[in-house]
Amino acid sequence: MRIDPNVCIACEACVPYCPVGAIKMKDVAEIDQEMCVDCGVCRNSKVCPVDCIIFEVQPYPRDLRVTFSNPRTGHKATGIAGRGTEEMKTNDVTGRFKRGMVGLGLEFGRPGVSTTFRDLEKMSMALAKHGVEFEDKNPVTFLMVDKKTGKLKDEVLDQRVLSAIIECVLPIGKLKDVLATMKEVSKQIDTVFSVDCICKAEPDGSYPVKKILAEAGITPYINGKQNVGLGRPLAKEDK
Amino acid sequence: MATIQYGSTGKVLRVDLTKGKIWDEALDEATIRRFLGGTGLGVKYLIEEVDPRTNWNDPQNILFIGSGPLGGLRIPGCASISVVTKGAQTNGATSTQANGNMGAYLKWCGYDAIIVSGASPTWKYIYVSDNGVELKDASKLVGKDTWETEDLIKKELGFQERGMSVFSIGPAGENLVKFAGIFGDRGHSASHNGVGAVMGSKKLKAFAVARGTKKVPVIDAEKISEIGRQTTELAKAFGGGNVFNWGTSRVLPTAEAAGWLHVKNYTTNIFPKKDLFMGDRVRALFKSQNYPCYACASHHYELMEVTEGPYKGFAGKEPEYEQWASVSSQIGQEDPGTAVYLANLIDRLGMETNEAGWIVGWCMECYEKGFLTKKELDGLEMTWGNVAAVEQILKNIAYRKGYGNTLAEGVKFAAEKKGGEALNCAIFTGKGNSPRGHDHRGRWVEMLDTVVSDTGTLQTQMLVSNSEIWNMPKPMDPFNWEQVAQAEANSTGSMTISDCMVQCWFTSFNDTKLQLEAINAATGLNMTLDELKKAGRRIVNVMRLYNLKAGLTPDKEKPSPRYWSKPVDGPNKDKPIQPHWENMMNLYYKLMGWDRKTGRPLPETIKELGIEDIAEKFK
Repeated sequence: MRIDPNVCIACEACVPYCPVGAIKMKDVAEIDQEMCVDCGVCRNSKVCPVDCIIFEVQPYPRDLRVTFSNPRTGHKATGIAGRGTEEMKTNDVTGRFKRGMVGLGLEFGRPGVSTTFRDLEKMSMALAKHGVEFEDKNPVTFLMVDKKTGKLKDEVLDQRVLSAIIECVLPIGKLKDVLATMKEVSKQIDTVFSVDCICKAEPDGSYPVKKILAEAGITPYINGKQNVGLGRPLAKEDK
Repeated sequence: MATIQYGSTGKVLRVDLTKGKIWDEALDEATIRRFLGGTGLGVKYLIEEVDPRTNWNDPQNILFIGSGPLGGLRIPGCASISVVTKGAQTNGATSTQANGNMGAYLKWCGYDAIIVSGASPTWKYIYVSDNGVELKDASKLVGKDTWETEDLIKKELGFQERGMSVFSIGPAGENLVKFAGIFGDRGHSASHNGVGAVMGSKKLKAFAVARGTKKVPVIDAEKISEIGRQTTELAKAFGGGNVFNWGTSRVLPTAEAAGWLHVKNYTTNIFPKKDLFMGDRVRALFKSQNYPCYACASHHYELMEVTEGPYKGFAGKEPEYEQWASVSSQIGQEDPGTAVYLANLIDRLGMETNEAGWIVGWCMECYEKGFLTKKELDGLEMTWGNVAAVEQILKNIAYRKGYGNTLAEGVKFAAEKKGGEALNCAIFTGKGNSPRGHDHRGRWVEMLDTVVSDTGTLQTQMLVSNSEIWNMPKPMDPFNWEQVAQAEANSTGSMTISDCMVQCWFTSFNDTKLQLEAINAATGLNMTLDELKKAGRRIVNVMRLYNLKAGLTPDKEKPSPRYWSKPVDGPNKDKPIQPHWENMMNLYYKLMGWDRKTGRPLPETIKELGIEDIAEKFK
């Protein structure tokens, strides 16, 4: 996003609308291009009385900011809007998370904080060493040079986005070590992230990794995020 | 003399229209310390260069249009301009301000002010940009209204809406209507005391100032930012944020309730349809779009499109309170959409809205009472609220057609010419100006102000933020003549300081303490509060010395018979001001340190303000 300095009247109306605080007041309002995640909230709020907030389609890799930050934009790679992942919501149909496996979703950045891909890469490379399998239908995976190493393309590393999610799946047996690695890497990261642990519930309704999480000192907030009833379990169970 | 380095561009632009000559002139520090800027700076040039006996339309008269020491800085309200000249209505020194963006744009082009002298043989406009200054041919713009002129100049020079500020005169100014004003940035106006007629007499159609890119150097940029924030907070809080959120759109019903809305030329104080004009209602009903000036977050100024009634689809600006009142209560007109149309028509023709209201209302009352006939009015049936007749008479005035040619001289002239009972219906002051759009029989301080003001409009204001530093009576009884005289005299200078900073009152609220911090952070002059207050009073007294030589006498400082008459109904029915007038004036003169007989500042006043040299010059 950009502000036309020949039109802006410095009324400051847009300033509180920026989720990452990128609008700075000089003689007129200016958008810090490093901080701006091109989410479009300033413009879409229609708060500017002189309509001077401009969005111009950006070339790659800057265009990633829009795809990851503007919920009204779809990811070209996945065709999914927003942060570009279905997570576990359609597991009924897709069967992506099978028994004995645990899916991880690492949600980097939030409105108010944001993140760069450099931070995501630190995590994805550390996870890759444990042999996790990154989810194909995920926009961060799409930016990887090599799924085996978790290395992201160099040109994207400095791009800042509102938030982005690393998704992978691994055998439950590896979870303990992976959690330890995540804790270690978190010290090197300049943003916040939260972790989703996705498992099929046991036939008795219990949550298979609860104990492992407890031992790692993590208290999970359990919710059933599956969109129950939206599909039949066409995926072949445990095959 | 040291050129001023901070808070100023260090120079003014001089344009001699007779010779077609353009040059820069340096601005020195001592001048700013003595006259501050804006209005004060204009007064300095006026008293130095224009003999007080010069007629307003003489080419020797100058037209000053300028910003102040805060202009172009990111402090709300500081993009305004002040116009100073010898005004057409009083033939005395005058100053009148307009909001909009020209003040900021001008400073960003590298000038604090433009001073126009002489008169051009053919119509011209002045084009100022980063790249220099040009006198451009305006022959194609003659006859165009103020909005059209703005559009055409921007188009001709290739500027977008916010890329340039254009202030122009309309047909009224071209035809030397005595109450013609200067209009720009979509209906902002510097319109009092016939400054548009002065511009017309110079055959100058417009000022076109591009949004320059030069920064104004300041001594303490961080402090200026902080003052900008504080000013916004002040504006948000003042009066419960009423002005910040609603501008003047909520004033009309309030004014009626308090008995200071002018209704049908002071023949009543009751306006039953007042609630139709409430800002909350009008802004919700019509299409309304905030259109703020540079650095301002307030919702004072809106563009508006009428969505119902006979003028459905008409788009212009939202009228200010004084405009609403001039074309509704004052002329017995009860449709808000029609008021939007008429207010914009007056702006486009380029006339001062209040005088237009007074003159139309006067015609209506005189027509109703048989003092003016249909024949005299060129066949117009001037019944209360007759919109078609109002529209036609306004055009007759702007083009000086038929009786419009007499009315174009203003209320005072037209009423005195007609004489008899008609004269007793007219609202004006002895000096020749007429009041702002209120019934001042319910606002005594402002009646006194209007009558004694050097500027031909408001000169001081009782409503000040930080009023204790001006020693305002508290609590104030607005109908106690002693307190009224004290309030007017004690606050003299407060409004003048705002007009020298050229800061919009709706953001400054005359907060002198904050303005002192601002001027010091901008200029580094390290002025004291006392010094700043004295500068405000100095400018008032300098204008007075000049005006006394220009023909002002104390006996002209008097309201017309109708202006100070006893209200016939409403809440102020039993509060006549006239019986107290003489006592009030005596006290006011005493507090001002002026001689009651001659009107001249006393020697001790002159000494205190350090204006012996000027007093000597205008002995």
